[in-house]
Amino acid sequence: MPDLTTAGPPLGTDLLDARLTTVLRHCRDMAPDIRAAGAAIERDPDAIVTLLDLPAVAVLRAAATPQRYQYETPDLDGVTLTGTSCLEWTVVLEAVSYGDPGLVLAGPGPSLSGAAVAALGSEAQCADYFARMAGPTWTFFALTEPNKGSAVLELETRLDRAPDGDGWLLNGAKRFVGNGARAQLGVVFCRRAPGPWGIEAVLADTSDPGFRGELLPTVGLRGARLSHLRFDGVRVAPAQVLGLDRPPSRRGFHGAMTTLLRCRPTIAGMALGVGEAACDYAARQRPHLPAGQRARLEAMRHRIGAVRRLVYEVAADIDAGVVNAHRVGAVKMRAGHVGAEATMLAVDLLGPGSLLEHPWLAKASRDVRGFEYMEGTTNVHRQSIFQGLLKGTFFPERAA
Amino acid sequence: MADSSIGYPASLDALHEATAPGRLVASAGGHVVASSAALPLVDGDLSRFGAAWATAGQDTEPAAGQFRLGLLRLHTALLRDTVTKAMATLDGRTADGTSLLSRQLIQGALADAAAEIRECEQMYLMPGPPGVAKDWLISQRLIATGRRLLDLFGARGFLADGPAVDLFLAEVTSNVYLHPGTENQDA
Repeated sequence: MPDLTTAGPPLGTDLLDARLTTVLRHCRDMAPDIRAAGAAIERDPDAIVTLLDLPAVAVLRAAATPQRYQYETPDLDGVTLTGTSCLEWTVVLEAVSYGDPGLVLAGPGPSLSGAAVAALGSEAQCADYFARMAGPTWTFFALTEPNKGSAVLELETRLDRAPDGDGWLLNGAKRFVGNGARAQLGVVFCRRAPGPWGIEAVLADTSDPGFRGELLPTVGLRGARLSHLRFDGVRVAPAQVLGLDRPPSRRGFHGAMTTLLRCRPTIAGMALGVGEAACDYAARQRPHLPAGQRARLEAMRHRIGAVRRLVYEVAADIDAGVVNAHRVGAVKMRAGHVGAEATMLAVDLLGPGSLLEHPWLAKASRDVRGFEYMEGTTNVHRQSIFQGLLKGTFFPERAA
Repeated sequence: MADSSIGYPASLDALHEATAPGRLVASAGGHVVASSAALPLVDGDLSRFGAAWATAGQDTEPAAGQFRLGLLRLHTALLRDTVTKAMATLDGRTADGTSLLSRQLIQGALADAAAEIRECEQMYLMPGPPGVAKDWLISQRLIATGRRLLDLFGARGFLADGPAVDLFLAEVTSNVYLHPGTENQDA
């Protein structure tokens, strides 16, 4: 496996403090092992079960687990992860995705569902949920529906009162759910009553009667194991409804939006990690590019760096409790685009037949397209940006 | 003329047969891409998508203008089919009680794609000397149009049992047969 480390920090990382710079460097140093793991997962997504001893797997799990629930705390050159910072999570996912995004998506741990549980769950629910992560345990986050996409307010999966009065019954279907058919538990968003406050988030165990999942074949990111889920009268006890002691306005809908906003910078980071890796791959394969081609590559690195700064900015804002959904969506959208364009540039620079002769690059160019469909598509974010323009809240007050 | 409605690998095989009966057409770089059925002994990343590639042998014929033109025709035919499929898919999806196809943003995206396809068709049909650079330019525009169309399918655009696979294979054949190989030249 070739040395994947690059000289100097990537452009745009100047916004990181010393602690996160250390985290970034540590995770980047793991890239060769992660890339080898990614290739194995591409051949067989279930190969992840043979890769659980990789240090990156523990780091990924810790980055999404609040420190008080971490059963192992990886030491990243003297730094431990808080598991509660959006910026920290983004840096980790970007750096690991530089190695391979497939490992991020295939691995066990809380991921998106953990963010929902942390945002909504009671102390007992959080403790129970995160205790199961020692398993190792795979999880899912089921929001998107076959005919409704990820429009939270329009979801049709129902939470009906059980005829015997003992809790509720879950009925409906979800689509494009990462790890859904392979996980042990996850969060399902459903409707208990009309209107936004009638939405609930419930913990579901995939071994429960009435729960069915099937894998969907994808063009890339096979490790994500996208799934179609069906719920046919899955029984849900009160203890499985996240934050049942909260007012309805602070439960399901609030949790879905909180989770999506918190995870969009991380998806953006993953796309940038793949894009940066594609640039480095091209430079490594073609160390003597003509000046004009080298300029194209450097221009791409600058674009990645610029979007990276924006991603870090919105992630830090989220950590500070200042959330501008329009800007968060914008950086996720732009990161997906620039990541994809970087892979296309690399394919171009490596010449005819590069998609055949460079399997990693071919895989990266397919994988990176998946980020378009995670946490909102381009059109969803375009509309949000426009709403931000209408409200006069998209641009920050100060000029850069 | 290749028929995009039967799937890209089969259409590609038909193009090989129409261009060089009984043989496969090789790229200038020495690669051959065809269906898994036509190149059954080769395995690799493409096999999951019904295609395969091999190094050109003595039984292959170098790609000439007719084959490159056929690839562009196949790509545009594929995009036309994808527009039709996108319209059907979007018509079946609703948001806020209305079909997504009724959205101005969606209509505009489909209109842009359709107009781009027509322009590309005119570009390769225009009289004049055929050029490797021109073929590459057209295919790059077709690839960009295809990716924008796929985005309109939402996450279905990432599934391997939908239009994403054929469009990906069109990207691969473009990279193999239409790339001008000028990456060593300065801009």
